[in-house]
Amino acid sequence: MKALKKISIIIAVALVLMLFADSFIVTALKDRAIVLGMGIDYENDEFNIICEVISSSQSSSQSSEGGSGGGFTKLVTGKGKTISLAVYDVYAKTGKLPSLGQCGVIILGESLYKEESLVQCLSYFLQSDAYRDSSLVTCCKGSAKDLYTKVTPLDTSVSFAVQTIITGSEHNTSIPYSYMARFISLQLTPSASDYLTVISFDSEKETTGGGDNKDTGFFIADDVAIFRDFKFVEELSEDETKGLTLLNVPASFDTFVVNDLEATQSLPKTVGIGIRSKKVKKELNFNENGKITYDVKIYVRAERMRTDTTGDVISFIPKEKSELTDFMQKQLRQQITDSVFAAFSKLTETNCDYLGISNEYYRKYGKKWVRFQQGFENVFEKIRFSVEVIIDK
Amino acid sequence: MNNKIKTEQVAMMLMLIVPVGKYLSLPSVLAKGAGRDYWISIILVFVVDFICFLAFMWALKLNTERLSIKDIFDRTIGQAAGKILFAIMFIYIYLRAAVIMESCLELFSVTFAIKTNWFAFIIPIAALSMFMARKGMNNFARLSEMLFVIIYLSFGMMLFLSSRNANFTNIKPILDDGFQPVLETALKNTFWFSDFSFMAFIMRDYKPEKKYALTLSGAYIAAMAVTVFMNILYIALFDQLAVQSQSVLSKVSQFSVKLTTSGRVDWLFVSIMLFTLFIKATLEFFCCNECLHYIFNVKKHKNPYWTNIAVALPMIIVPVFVNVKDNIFDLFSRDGYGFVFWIIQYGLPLFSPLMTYIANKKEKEKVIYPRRVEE
Repeated sequence: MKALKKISIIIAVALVLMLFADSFIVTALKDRAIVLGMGIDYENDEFNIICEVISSSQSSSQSSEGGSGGGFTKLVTGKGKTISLAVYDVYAKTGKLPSLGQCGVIILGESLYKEESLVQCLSYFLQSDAYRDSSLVTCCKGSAKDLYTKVTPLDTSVSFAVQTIITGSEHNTSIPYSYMARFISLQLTPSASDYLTVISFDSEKETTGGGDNKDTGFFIADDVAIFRDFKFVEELSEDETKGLTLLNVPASFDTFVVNDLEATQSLPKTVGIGIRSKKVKKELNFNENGKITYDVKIYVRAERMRTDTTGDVISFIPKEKSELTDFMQKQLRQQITDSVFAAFSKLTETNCDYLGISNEYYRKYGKKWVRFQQGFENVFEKIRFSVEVIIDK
Repeated sequence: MNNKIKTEQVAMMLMLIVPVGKYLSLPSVLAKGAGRDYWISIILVFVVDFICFLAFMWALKLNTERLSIKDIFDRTIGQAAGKILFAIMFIYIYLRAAVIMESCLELFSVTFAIKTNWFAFIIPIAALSMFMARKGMNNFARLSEMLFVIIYLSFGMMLFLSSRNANFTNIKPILDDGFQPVLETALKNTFWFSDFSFMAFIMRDYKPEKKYALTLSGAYIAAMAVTVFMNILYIALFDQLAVQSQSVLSKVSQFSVKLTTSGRVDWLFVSIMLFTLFIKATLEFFCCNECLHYIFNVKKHKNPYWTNIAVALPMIIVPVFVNVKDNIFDLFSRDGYGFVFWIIQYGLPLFSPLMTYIANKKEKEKVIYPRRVEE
C-alpha cells in the first residue's frame, strides 16, 4: 500500500509537470538576440538604434544591415517613434527577441544628446526591471551607428571596448563617467545636472589582411558633456574635466607636468607627476543674508612617474618623504588650483551644477537651501569658492 | 528522531524571513510615503516589534508545561474568543503569504526575463507548501539551518558588491520634511512587519535553552539591522528613483557587477535569495494550516488534507481573477487599514506572558489535583 502511494505521487507529479512544462515561455537561446550594447541616434523624429548582439555564427563579421561587428558579434538596427518601438523593430526584422539583460552600455549619438531631452530615451530603460540600471550611458562624437562600425586592434566587441575604456579610465586616465540610474536620479535633485563621457574615435586607416578596408583605430574617452534637466549644455575643456575629476572622483589617477630646476644632469628637467592618493574635504556654509562659501581642501600624495607607475590610486599607503621639491610642489599646487577653478567657472558660467554643489548644500541645509536657491536665476554667482592644495603632508 | 526545535534553528529562521520580504515592493511603497527617510519608519516599527518580541520570549520561558497556543487561549480567554483570534491570525498571515507568492513570480520574471502563467508557477509551490505543512515546523527549522550559510553568504556578497557603487550621503538631509510623514508611513505599514508571529506555533515544540533570550534577541536585532541597512543601500543607489522599483532585490543586485564583461553574477544571488522567499511563503502557509486546525478543532495527529487544500486553493485561483497584490497594498499601506491586525501583531505578544502564566498555572493545578485525591 505504501509503495502504491509513492507510485501514485510520482505519477501525479509527472502529470503536473507534463501539463505545465509548456507554460513557461522560455525563449530558446537561438531565438534571442543578446544585446551587449546599444547605440541610439535621433533623426526625422525617430529613434534609430543599433544593437551589438552575440552571434553564434563563425562567418565573417558582416551584419545584415551592412555594419560590422567583432568576431562574435553582429549589428542589427531598428527604428521607431519611441525606443520601445525601435527595439520591437529589431524583433520584427530579425525574428529574434532582443534580450537587454546583458546590455552594458548605451551610446548616444550627437543627433540625440545635443538636440533632444534624454528623458524620453532613458526612461524606457529605467522602467524595464530586467535592464541593469548600473549600465553605462555615454555620448559619442558623430553618429552612434558609425561608432559601432569601427574596429580596434585589441577588442572584438565595440561595446566591451567602450566599457573597458570608460570604467578603466576612472582609475587610470582620469575620466569621470556616469551610469543610468545615477544620471537620471541626479536630474531630479536640486542640482538637476550631471555629466556623461563623450567617446570619439581616433582613426588609423589600414587595410586588413582580408583586403577589407576597415576603419581601425582606438576609442578615446577624454571628453565630458554636461547636462541640465536632461538637456545638453556644453562640453568641458581639458582643464575643466581635470577639475571635475579632482573634486568628484575619489579613486582617479591624474597626471601633471612640472619643471625640476634642481635636477642633476642624469635627471630630466621636465617631470611627469602622478597622483598616488587623494582626499578632498569640502566645507560649505550658507546664511540667508547671502553669504555662501564653498571651501575645498585637496590632500594629494604625488610621485614622479616611472616605468612601474601603474596608474592605480591606492588608499592607506605608508608615509614617505616627498619626491617633489618645493618648486615642483608649488607648480603642482598651482595647476590643481587652476583646474579646480576652471571647473567652478564653467559651473557658474553655464548655471549647470555638474559638480553637485547644490546637492551638497541641500544635504546640509535641507529645504532652506532650496528656497534660497529659487530666489536666484544663478545661485552659483553668489558662492565664494576657495581652494587649498596640500601636497605630500 | 528528535522533533524538538533548537534555539539556533529559530534564530536562523528569524534571520532568514525578516529581511527578504521587505526587499521586494515594500521599499518603493514606503518611499512614496516618507521619501528618503522611510528607513526611519522601518526602525520605528522594528522598535515596537522588538518590544513585542521580548514579551513573547518571556512567554516562551513561562511556558513550562509546553502548552500550545491553542491550549493557552482555551485556558485563558476561552474557546470562542480563541477561535476569533485564530481567524484574524489566519487572515493576516494568509494575505501576507499571497503577496509573497505574487512577488516571487514577479522577481523571477523580471530577473530572468521568463514569462510564465500563474498556475504553472503556483501549483508546484502550493504542492511543496502542502508537503512542508504536513511535515511540521521542525522541517522549516532544519531547512533554515541547512540553507542559512549559503543564503547569507550570497546576501552579504550582493550587499557588499552593490554598496561599492552607493552614495550613502543620499540619505541626507534627514527628516527634512519633518517627523510626521515618517510616523504616518510607519503606522500605515505595520501590516508588513511582526515577522516573529510564526513563533506562536512553536510554543509546544520549543523548549527555551540556556541563553535562549540572548541568542534569539541577538538574531532578531541582526535581522532588523540587515533590513535597515538594505533599505539605506537602496536609497544610496537610487535616491530619487527609490519610489519606482517593483522588485527592489532584483534592482539592487544589478549593482553587484558594473561591467557586462564580468557576466551577471547577480542572477546567482537572486536565485539563492528566492529560496528564502519560498521558505517564508511555505512557513506562512504552514501557519495558516495550523490556524484552520485550531478553528475547526482538528486533532494534531490527524492533519487532514482538506485544511491544506482549503489554504492552497484560494491562493491558486483568486489571483487569476483579482489583482491580489495591489489590492492588499492599497488596503494595508495606502489606506492604512493594517491596524485591524494590531491585536495579533502587538496585542497578542504583549499579553502572551500573562496568558501563558495563567494557562500554565491552571495546567499545573490540573496535574497536581488528581495526586492529592490519591493521597
